[in-house]
Amino acid sequence: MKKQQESLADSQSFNPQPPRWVDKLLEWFVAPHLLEYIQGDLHEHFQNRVIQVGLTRARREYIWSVLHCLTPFFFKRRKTNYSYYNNYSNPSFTDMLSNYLTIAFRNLWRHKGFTAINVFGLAIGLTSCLLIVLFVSHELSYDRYHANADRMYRMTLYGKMDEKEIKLAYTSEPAGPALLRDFAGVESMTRIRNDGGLLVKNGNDVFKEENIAFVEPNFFQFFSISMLKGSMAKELINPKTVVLTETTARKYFGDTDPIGKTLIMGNLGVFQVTGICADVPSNTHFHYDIFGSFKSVNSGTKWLASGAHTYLVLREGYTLKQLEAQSQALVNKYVSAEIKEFFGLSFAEFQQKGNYFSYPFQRVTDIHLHSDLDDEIEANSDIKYVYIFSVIASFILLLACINFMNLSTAGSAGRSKEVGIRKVLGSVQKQLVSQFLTESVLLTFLALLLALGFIILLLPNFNNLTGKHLSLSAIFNWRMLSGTVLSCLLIGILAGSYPAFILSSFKPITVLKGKMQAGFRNGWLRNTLVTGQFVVSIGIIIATIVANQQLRFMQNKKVGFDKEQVLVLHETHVLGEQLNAFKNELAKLSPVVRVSLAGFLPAGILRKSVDGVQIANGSRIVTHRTKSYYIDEDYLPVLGMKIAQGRNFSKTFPTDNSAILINESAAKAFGFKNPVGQQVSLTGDGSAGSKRTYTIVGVIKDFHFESMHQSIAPLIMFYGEIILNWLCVLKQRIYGVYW
Amino acid sequence: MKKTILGELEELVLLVVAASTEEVYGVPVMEELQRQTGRDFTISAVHTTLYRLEEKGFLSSSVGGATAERGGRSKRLFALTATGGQALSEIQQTRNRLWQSIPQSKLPLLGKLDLT
Repeated sequence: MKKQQESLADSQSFNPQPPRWVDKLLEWFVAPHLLEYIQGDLHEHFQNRVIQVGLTRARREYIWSVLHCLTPFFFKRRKTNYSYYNNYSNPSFTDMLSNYLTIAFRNLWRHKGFTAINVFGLAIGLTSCLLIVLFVSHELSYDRYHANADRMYRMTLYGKMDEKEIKLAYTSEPAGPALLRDFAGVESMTRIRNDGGLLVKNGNDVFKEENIAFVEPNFFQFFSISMLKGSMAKELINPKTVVLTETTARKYFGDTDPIGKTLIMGNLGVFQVTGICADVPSNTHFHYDIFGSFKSVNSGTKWLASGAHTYLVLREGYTLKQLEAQSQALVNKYVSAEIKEFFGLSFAEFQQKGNYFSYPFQRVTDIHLHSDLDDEIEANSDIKYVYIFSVIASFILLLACINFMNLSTAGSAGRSKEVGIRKVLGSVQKQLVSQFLTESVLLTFLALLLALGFIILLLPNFNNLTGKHLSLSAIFNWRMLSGTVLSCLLIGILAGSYPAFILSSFKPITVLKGKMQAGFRNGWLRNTLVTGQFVVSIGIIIATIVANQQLRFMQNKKVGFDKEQVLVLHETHVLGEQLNAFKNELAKLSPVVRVSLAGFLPAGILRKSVDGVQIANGSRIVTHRTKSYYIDEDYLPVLGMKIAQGRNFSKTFPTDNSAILINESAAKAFGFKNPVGQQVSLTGDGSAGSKRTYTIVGVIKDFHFESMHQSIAPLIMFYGEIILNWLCVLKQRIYGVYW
Repeated sequence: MKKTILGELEELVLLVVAASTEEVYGVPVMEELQRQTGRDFTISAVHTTLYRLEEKGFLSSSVGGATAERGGRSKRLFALTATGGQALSEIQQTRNRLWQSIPQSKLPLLGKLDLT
């Protein structure tokens, strides 16, 4: 015997061996009960082949035949009826799993209340988390669908003139074409003119349209907005042509074909509809409904007195640095001459005074979350919100998980007897662990189902809250769902692991004697978790209270005008010429104290018109950019705005057509000690005739007309010229005083 | 019990086992198959078939001795069972019946002039 073994070992050391890794593969793959015989046969055959055909070929054949063994037949572990292996029943893994599921369902059913709390809690956590994930992923998806989104930039304008810093989302109108002409790195360029709202008329239907843009013909191709009717590049070449979005076209023309029909666009005249485009996707930084041709509006030729949102695609291989260098060249070449014209200074002198002027660029994909410039097309979000919400989402999920974990642990304490019996009957710890894991994964998936139900119910309200238009397809797509299911599996396993390991580590003898294990009751981990849970939830509650108080502060803080008892009638322009008669009739009504007609409302989301204002200040002329309102003489009393100096507009002064009111901030900005009677002139768009001179007749006390976050900006109020308007109706303030 | 059907390879393997005078396990069965048919068989195919036949009750198996060239691993030895023998002879009879029912006129097509 000993001799035989020696010779065996001996011959083995001389014998050529098949590749080791192939054997490893075989040993890993083939079920143990089949391995020995098949491996033996393979080796024997290999040795035969070495003699017959040589080592190299035998090895190759060996690899080949091992690969042939990689079939389900050899992989399947111990099937039930291999009598030569053993005679006990050998339940397969799935049998055990179905048993776990049965037990789990029975347990959950027996403790209905407990299960409900646990599943419901986790479901609420999952719902909030999923909703936030929807929100955040929508925020992050802004402008990523454009064809060349990674090379797409927006040209902006930063500058400082006379102590006044400007950071504008648009740029000088001639800048785009100049850049396209002078710099080979620009692949394509498009511009959007955004001149505010217009009254759009189709026969008797009049709508006030806020989202009107005047765009160049390549706009739709540039931003990958598909054209439903009409061709992409050919529309909007001619002046007075317009492309409508699908929804807008339906609004004006119903189901009839709108191509060739006309619309009257405010004071710009009659426009012909030449195309229908798809609605602008919700994750875009602009949402226009009507696209007029760029040529329909007066094009500005002055670099310092014109503006268009300018976008460009950089050719591959060119860097942003090169582009910025080129834009600085533009400033030197074109802008410096105009600075001389407008300010009477050379560019060097201009810079010496601490001024600057530049055209920086920003990625289009960054606009929604990272850009907060003046005159953005629409209010952007902030990356901070994305971070904050992501943190909140993960905290909520963490809370839900901890809660789930603690409840599961506490709930399963009653099952120590079951564990004891199972152990006595031969369960090993691994089986118990997988049993409890199955249970918690099952619970998580129940919670997930519930959460999806909640989301279906809550999504409309959620859309109202966030101002988004998320549809169910945002969540019921394979990417989102597979991610969710995977993370739920992970949550189930993580949250279930603690109770699983604790419970399965019970010693059967102590458990069956009725003694709970000491370690179970004062588990430091559980204590830490509970404490952590309270810390997080108290933190979130405090944050909510603070945010709420902040909001209340903003609502209640004195804004500088009286908004109580004021009714605002929107869209009164539809009355057309009867507007004044209507106003007079309203004023006659007994509960009405005063009626005012105004072009702007304070603290509304309105398009701000920005004008350059020149002040003859001693010897030199200073230019400021301010916001302007058009109002009538009743506006200030109706809104309870106070006059600090001078007087209100009045019908009795015929010269008031060229009179203005300014607010205190403007007086300070313009540097007037005694503003009443001073003259200022408006630069207009730089063309001849658009420049007018006004006299200041009064100063209004500052009031908040923008967000509370912003300091009160210089404001100019003009008399009359009201195109878009609101009627502000003041009802009696205090009964008896006005009566 | 439904009648078990034998596949071609199964039948061949069963015949090889029946014909063999030596120890019957994977390697000799495979070599014999190759010799008889001229086709290449892999060990895994032979093993799969042997096990399947065992499952069907046509073969029985036992553990046999190890040799050096097998790296000290045991063989699984197979032997024909009574059911296996019966199955083979049933097949043989079916074939014979079919052969006999071939009309004389068609025999030249089969390249056989005289069956008897």
